[in-house]
Order: sequence, then structure tokens, then C-alpha cells
Amino acid sequence: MNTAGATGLEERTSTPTIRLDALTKFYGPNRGIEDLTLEVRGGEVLGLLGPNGAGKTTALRLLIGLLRPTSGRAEVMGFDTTRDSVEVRRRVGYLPGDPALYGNRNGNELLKLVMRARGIDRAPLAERLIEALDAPMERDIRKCSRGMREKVALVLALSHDPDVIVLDEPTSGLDPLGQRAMLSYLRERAEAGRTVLLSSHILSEVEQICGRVAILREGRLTRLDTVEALREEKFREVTIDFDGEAPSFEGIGEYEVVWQEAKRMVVRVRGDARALLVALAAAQITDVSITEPTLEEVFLDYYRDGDSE
Amino acid sequence: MRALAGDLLGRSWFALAWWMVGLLAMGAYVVAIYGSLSGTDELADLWELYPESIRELVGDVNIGTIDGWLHLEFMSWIPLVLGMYGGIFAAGNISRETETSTVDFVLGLPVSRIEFMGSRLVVGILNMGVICGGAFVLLTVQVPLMGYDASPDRYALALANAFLLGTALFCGYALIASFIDEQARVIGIAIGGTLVTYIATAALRAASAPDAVRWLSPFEHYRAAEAMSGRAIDVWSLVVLAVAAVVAGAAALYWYNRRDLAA
Repeated sequence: MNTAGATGLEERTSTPTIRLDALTKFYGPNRGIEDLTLEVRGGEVLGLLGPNGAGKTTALRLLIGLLRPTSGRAEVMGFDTTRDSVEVRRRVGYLPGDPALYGNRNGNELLKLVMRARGIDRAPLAERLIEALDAPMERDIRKCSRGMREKVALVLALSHDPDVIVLDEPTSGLDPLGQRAMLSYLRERAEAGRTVLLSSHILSEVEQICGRVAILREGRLTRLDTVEALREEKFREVTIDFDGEAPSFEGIGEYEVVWQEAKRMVVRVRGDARALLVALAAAQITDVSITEPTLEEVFLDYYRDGDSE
Repeated sequence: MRALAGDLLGRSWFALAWWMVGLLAMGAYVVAIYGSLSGTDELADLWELYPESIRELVGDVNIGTIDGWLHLEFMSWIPLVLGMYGGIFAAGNISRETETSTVDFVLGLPVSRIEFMGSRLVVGILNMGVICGGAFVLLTVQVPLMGYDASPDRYALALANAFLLGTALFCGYALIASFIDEQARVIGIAIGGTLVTYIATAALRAASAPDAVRWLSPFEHYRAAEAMSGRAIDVWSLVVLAVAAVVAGAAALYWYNRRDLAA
């Protein structure tokens, strides 16, 4: 990598592309989101996680200018999403949840409409996306299944190579091949410096492509961190086969023996992995396996913790 | 806005064509049957048998003449057709877009809500013009073909009045559609509202209601009877309809630009 390129990337990624500042939306007395503050930088993929009604879709719709904030503000590439919503949408590729398209049109006709509305002669990534997703662009939308419609909608949203990609549950209707193609595309665009903000219920995909996740609960941001950091502070499940005495885990942090037999035990340990390895080295271990928690486990754990509060 | 308006024109022409087929077929039929009735004295007597309220509503015309006949059987109800068309168009292209969430696709593009609503208003008004223009061409061509003298200036004035009334009604329904997101409800309001207002106008005229009350009905400002009788038309009626259309259209733009579009 040359120096100029590295500097350019550094500059690009150091300026937040998306900035939410105390963003709040109430629907009458009902809370959509409250006091949501976060930043997403160029080249980053950030996942919004949360159960139904947590405020993920509200946050994304505020960002696109489909909703007016009750208070606070949101910016995309320096443009206010309420005042300059057209400029925002010029720079954004947006996929709504369960996308609806005109039923009496086919994908190619809609792509022409998108290009006219965007004032462009060609959509540079259209062919690639159509091929990767196997999007049925010739078929009338009314004759498309939900997954096919979603593929066409993704082509329409992303084919102009937007600087910012905002996706509400982007792969929920896609088949596994479509999901894989979509995730691979998003990863590649992020590597090219684009900013990706997506909401999802499919935690495995968030885990695959997101650098950071924002966890929403009842409209509030309860956690914003990297996937690794979230995993770090959760339990690892350690299965240990040993000879002689069972290893001791005193002093390694929080732990819980899940079950134990004569020469095998399963322990859930939270804390520094090095302390765990030191404890294991002092014992007569014949085999050991450490299972990292999936993001799904972390997520469920997080919400269980919240419910019990 | 040109892209949105062009797209909407493309999607609305088929329905518009069928509205015009129905309207123009009816117009052609009305012109065609005049020959079998024009010589009969009973036509004038028949008109006298019409209820007072209907005669008040239709206006003072001599239905023994081709222009009077055309007014009674064609021009007098064109605003009803335009009102219903405008309501259905507003419901289908404003309320339905929100109801089915296709507006998310459109407003995910770099177009403003003003452009979105503006394209609906422009195309709706344009389609009204096409309907009225079609009626004008039909009368101008068919009446001489049937052996009568055509009165293009009278048709033009009456249809211009109908166009303004239809536009005012459409803009009013566009305003309603800008805050009611259910297509079926807006269609119900538009059809019911158009018919009730039309009938109420007749009732108010028959009951000699005060001018200020009658003035509130948009149909009160439809003066095609004067136009088709060769009399001067009250310019204020045209001005009122034009102003009503502009105010309702501006209110629709304003409200749609401010509202939330929730999922």
C-alpha cells in the first residue's frame, strides 16, 4: 500500500460519515427511539441489533428522512437528514424492510426510473449485482416471490455504488446463495471505503460482516461495541479432559462449573483468556476445547440480563 | 420531478384510456340520439316535468337545441366524472403509495416529497385536461358529422369550467389523501363526497339558500349552462375554482412535506 493511499484512507475513515446526535422520535406518546447517539465512519460496517420494536427501523427511517425527529439530529456526510434529505439520499443506497415495488413494472424498468431520478446514465454496479444475486430483472414485480423482489430491490438500491449503504434487514428474504453474495458484496464495498449501516435479526450474518454492533432496547442504545469486545466479556465454555486432580480456576475471574465427571469437566469462564490458560497449564490436562460464544448467545444473554433487571 | 411524472403518466394512461372510452362513448351516444328527438315538441315539455331542483342544478338551457341537449345529457355531469376520477387517482397514487410502502422506494431516491406530491398533482391535472380535451374533440368532430352546427367556443368554455372544477376537486382529494393512507377510505370519501356535494348543490339552489352558503359548494361555480347557451359566464366562478385548486394543492404539498412516513 502506498503512503498516499494509506493517508487518504485514514482521512476518510477518521471523519464520521453517519452521525446521530441525541436523536429522538416519539409517535405520539409511544417511544420510537430516544437519545440515540452514535457515529459510523467510512469503511465501517455497523449492525443495529434489537428485538422487534427496539427502534431499529425508526432509526434508519430517520436517517433517510422518511420520519421527522422529535428532537436531536442526524447527519450523513455532513448533510442534515431533515433539512437536506435529498442530498442525503443522493449519497445513500437505502433498502427498506420488506421492500415494496410497483407491481406492474419489471426490474429493468424500475432501474431506468432509478437512473432517471438519480440523473445518471449508467448504474456502474448493476450488471454485477444482477449476476451475483441472480435478480429476475425481466419479470413483473407482481409475479416475483418475496425473495426475488428483495433481490431486485437490492439491485435498485445499490447499483449506483453509493457512498453510504443503509439496509433494513437486507437478507431476511434471500436464499442462502443470495445471502452469501450480499454479504460478500457489502464486505467488499466496506473495504472500498463505503459506510454500511444495517439492521438485522440474523446474528450470524452480523457477526460475519460487522465490525461494531449497536444494541437497541426499547428505543435506547444500550451498547455500542465491537463484536469481539462483546464476546470477550461473555462466558467461554471450556471442556477439559484431565488426569489426576481437577484443575482449579481460583483467581481467574468469574467461572461456573457446568458439570464434572471423573476425568472430564465443563466450565463456563468469563475474563482474561491468559489467566485461564495459566490455570490449565498447571493441571494435568489431556485435552481441552474452548468454545467462543456466538453473537447470538451474547445477544440473548444481553436481553436476558435486561429482562431480569 | 420529470422522472416521477413521466413514470406516473406511463402507469396511469391505461386507466385513463378506459375512463375516456366510457365518457366519450356516452358523449357519442348522446350526440347520436339527438336526431331522433330534436323534432319533438315533447322534449321541452319533458324538461318542464323535471324536478325544480334538477332544473336548478343543470341550469337554464333550451334542450330543444343541440347545445342545450348536449349540456343536459353530457356537460352537466362531466364534473361528476372528473370529481370521481380525481378522487380515485389521488387515492391510487398518493394514499396507496404509503399504504403499500412503494413510497419508501420512491423517497429512497434523491427526490423531495414536494417533487413526489407535485408529480401526482401535475399528472392528475394533466389527465383531467386530457379527458376534457377528448370531450372537446369528440363534440367538435361528431356534431358536424351528424349534420348540426358545432359551437367549439361554447364547448371550450364549458369544458374549461369543468376542467377547473375537476382540478379543484382533485386537489381537495389530494389533500385528503396526503394524510389518509388507506386507498379504500379515500375512494369512499371522494365518490361519496362528490355525489353528496352535487346533490346538496341542487337542494341549496331549490331551497333558495343564501348566496354565501351556496357559494361554498364547488358545483355552484360550474356555469356550463351559460356557456352552452351562448351567455356570458361569471368569471368569478372560474377564479374561485382556480384559487380553490391552488390552495388545496399547496396545502397538500405543505402537509405531505411535513408528515411522517412511518413503516
